[in-house]
Amino acid sequence: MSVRNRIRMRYKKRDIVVALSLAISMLALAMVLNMGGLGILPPRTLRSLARSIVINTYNPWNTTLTSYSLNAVSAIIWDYRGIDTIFETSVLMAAVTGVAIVLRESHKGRKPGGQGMSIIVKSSTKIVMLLTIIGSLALAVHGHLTPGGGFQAGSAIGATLSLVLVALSLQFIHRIGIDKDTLLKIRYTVLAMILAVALVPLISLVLGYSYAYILQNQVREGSYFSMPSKFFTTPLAGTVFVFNILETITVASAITYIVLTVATYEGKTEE
Amino acid sequence: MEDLVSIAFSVAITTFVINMIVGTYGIFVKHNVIKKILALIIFSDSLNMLSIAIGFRIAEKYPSPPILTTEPRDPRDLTQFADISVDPLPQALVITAIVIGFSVFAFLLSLAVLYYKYNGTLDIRTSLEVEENEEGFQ
Amino acid sequence: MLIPIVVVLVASTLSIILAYLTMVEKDLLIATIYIAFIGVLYTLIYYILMAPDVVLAYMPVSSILLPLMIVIVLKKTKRFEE
Repeated sequence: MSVRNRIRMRYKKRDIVVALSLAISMLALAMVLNMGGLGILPPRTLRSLARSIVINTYNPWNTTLTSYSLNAVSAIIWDYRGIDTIFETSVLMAAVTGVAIVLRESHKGRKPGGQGMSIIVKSSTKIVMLLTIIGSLALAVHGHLTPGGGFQAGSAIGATLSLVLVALSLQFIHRIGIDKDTLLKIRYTVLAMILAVALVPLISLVLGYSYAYILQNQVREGSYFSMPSKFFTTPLAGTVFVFNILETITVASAITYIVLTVATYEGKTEE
Repeated sequence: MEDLVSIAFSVAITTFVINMIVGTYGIFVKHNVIKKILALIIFSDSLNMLSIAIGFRIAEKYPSPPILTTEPRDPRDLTQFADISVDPLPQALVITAIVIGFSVFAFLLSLAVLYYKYNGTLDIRTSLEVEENEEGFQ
Repeated sequence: MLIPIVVVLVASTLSIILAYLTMVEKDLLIATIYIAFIGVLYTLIYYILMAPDVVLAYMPVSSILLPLMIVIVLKKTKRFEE
């Protein structure tokens, strides 16, 4: 028992030292931020990098730097810092692979049981599910004109399908045709399509058609390669529009796959 | 009026820093695996909130989100928009951070299920006490 | 400009109290509900700070997906701490 008491006293001394040092560091960080360490907060003018992005995001008089999208945040995510988003999508793919390998014993052949909740919950969930999916598709298509975009719509669809899994039973999900293998196949096909759209200009450069850059959206210096910029009269931001639609499908299937795997895991405790 | 806004902003930033410290304390001190994951969620949310709060600005009437509402007909429309709009760069980086944080938490939760399967309990101290007993024995 | 400032101050002070309460709670299911409530308060603050894209990205993650996965994991392991 003395070993256990010694361990407990060591933990108590460690708790006090940790709390004191964290309190001092919090005081120092708050003081530095409030006395102008990052400039006057809140500022009265935009910083210079943000000002150049905001002026050039829909600028028909500066065709070298513009991206023809009325939403500055979507332009930053898919055009000005597009390679960041490519790697973020690959982090989500790594998480899906990790969850699939760690929880390997989710049985697929077992008969799915459960009956879901009462009939009031079931009917209202069916109505709400239809409305939410239509609203999310509207969010995905309007990503360059209003707040919205690829990841926002994809996670809303994934959350809706998880709630359908809880309220209606697992049998309903299998009857619609959403299986774990189908979700994986959809996800990897659409990921390949995202990579293809990102690398099409580079392939055209290699094959000798014209000079091009990677993730190119509109006309740039020294290149004539360009994506469409208007759909009759509505502005359409080229690759931003295409990426938003593809990202919706891939994120929705990834999130549904993760929740399905964690929910149907059954491993016995070994002692 | 602008002094009031600056003082309120400083108080808000201090509360976000306090939340970050509460989350860090929870990671170090608590000895349940799921309690550590909850503290990490608090820390990550408060850090994203601090980044967006730094990107705010004061405009003469009211600041506006970084979205153009009509197509500009004149280069003067664009400079007017740059006078009232908020910084769009931290918002894009925070959206990326939210996605990466969600994938890390999903993987950590599946590892917690595996930890319970192999040890029978969710306590971190069980794997530490065995080493301490061996050390005291020798 | 007065009412948004007051709302931000009240929401951020409430979030400190909730963060302390989740750290000392022994019943992990109630701690999960506190985390979801902190997510709702932060969504309100994001809206007042003029960031609508972040609101749309943060709302499903913090209010539906993470508490749902934590509740499923709690069902497969223990619910009470210690």
